Amino acid sequence: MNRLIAIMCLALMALGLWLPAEAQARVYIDITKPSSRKLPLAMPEFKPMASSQSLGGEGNRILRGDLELTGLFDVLDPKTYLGSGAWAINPREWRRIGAELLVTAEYTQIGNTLGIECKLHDVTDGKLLVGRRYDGLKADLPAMMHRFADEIMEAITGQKSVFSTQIAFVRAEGGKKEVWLMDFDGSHARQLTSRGDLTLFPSWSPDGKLVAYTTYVNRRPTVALHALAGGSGQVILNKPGVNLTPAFRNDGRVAAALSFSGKTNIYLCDQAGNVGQNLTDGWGIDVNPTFSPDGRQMAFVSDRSGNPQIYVRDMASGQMRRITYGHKYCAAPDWSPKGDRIAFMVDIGGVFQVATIRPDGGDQQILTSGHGGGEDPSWSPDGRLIAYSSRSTGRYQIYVMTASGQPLKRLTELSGENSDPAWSPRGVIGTR
Amino acid sequence: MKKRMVWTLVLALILGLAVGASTGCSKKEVGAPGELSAEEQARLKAEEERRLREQRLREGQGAGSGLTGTEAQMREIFTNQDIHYDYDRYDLRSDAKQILNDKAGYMQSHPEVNVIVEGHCDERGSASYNMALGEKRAKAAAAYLQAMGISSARLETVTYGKEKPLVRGNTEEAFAANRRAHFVIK
Repeated sequence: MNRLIAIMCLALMALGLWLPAEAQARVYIDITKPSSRKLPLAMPEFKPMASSQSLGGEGNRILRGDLELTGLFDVLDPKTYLGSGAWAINPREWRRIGAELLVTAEYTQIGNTLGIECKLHDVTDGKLLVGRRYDGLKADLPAMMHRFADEIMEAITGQKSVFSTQIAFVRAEGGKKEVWLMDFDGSHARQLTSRGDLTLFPSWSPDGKLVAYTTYVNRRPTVALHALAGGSGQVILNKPGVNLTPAFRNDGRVAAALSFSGKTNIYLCDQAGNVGQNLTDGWGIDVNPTFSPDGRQMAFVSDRSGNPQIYVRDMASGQMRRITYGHKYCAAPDWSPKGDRIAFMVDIGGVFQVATIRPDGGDQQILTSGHGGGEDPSWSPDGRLIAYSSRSTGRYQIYVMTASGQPLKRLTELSGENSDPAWSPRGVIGTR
Repeated sequence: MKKRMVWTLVLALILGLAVGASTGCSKKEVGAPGELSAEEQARLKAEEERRLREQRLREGQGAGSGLTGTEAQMREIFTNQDIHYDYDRYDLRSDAKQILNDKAGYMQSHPEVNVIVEGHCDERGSASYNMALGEKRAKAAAAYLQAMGISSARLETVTYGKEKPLVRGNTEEAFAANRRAHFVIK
């Protein structure tokens, strides 16, 4: 029963609801604290039905990777405790190895076809929390596992996670940069743009159908939109000067930093490239817009104080206020999908770190100082994870950590430099 | 008679060898210098002038003088000499202004020359902010040249942010060398 209460508390917290004091005392996992305890989850080897060929542990491997990426679970390998064939054991037995949750699956794979039945149990009272059956081709196994991982997260936290998302990033090779895509876990990396020059600063549309980026055309950085459905990307902003750092507002309009006036200010434009309202009034550099989820506020970088700092503009009143103080270089802001925090990069003693801060400038937290620095943060659509780039191994690669700074995984294992991740919304076409 | 013919032949051979040795053995040049055609004389003179000019060029290079060099040298200096900036700044330092004075002088004496001013940054910091910063650096250099009388039509500015470092490495020296405006003749 305590376990169930713990799960319910977790779900309530994920929904952002206020908890009464006595319930807070019983919380097993505080997902906002790096030291928090993880939920122990047992996952025995998936069981092949009679006449089925073997998946050879592939399903377990994918699902385990997904669950570990959330930073919420401690996935126990029952073989260690109970030997193989452990799926046959009575669920209550799992308490003996410390499990609170149990995932079981049975499958039938014949030739190219695959059917798989997955279940999530609460070990304490043997209750079935989630049961799903997936049928398809054997090649659909990753998609099936990602979907079930989302079901598990919905049952535990009240919302789906990132298992139908992609990450756009910039890959540098041979003096050129192109935008690439990969699945949320770093798998299935593939090239999106082939423009043959410098293409960078990717940003997703709210519906996940477009990626905007900056791309050089005849020595000038322009802004282009690229449909995931196909095509090679269409330049929409090519004004004299620079056309930098496009970012979508929730209404589908695009903000970008343009310098045609002589000052580098941020303008709100439509997707056809018609330049609308000037949103900033800096005398020098205003760049890198990012909107609150409701579109009512915009954070950006400005050097109006003499060095780059993060500012927030209220879209209705036009008022702007500085939110970062005490450091000489703050840049690359990304507004959390929950709306409650802004991630950015900050120079701490000569090393850039990823930090988060409330939009009112309170409660700044440095997240990466324990693990080699970080730059260019991007929130996952559930607001629980942050992807970022780091050169802690010498070359820039992309990593993911929890929103509280607990390191989880290195996502890119590619040659060249891989940086500037942009996490997609949920449900993007092409995620395996 | 036979003896005389032999002597004449020997004499002719000796003369021929001597003339050949002194004139480079060219068939046309056999004979006295006074017999050279006007065309040949002009060719020889041009060759001598070319040789002398090559000599002067080598002496000029040996002296290493920056401002009194030849056309090719001046052009080389114009395109090879970058101006440099302080970290996260785009205002022009006094050493940069001196170099820009020379560049303005070169552009004034070479009205046919149009220039791309490239702004670059060191590798630290945000790629997007650096791209904006690189443009400010290029624009500051171009504005100075305009103030020195160079038409804006002859100046194009480009930013490469921190995307095209000149020097690899994360030393202060590498950073300083990479924070630059570079001048390319179109």
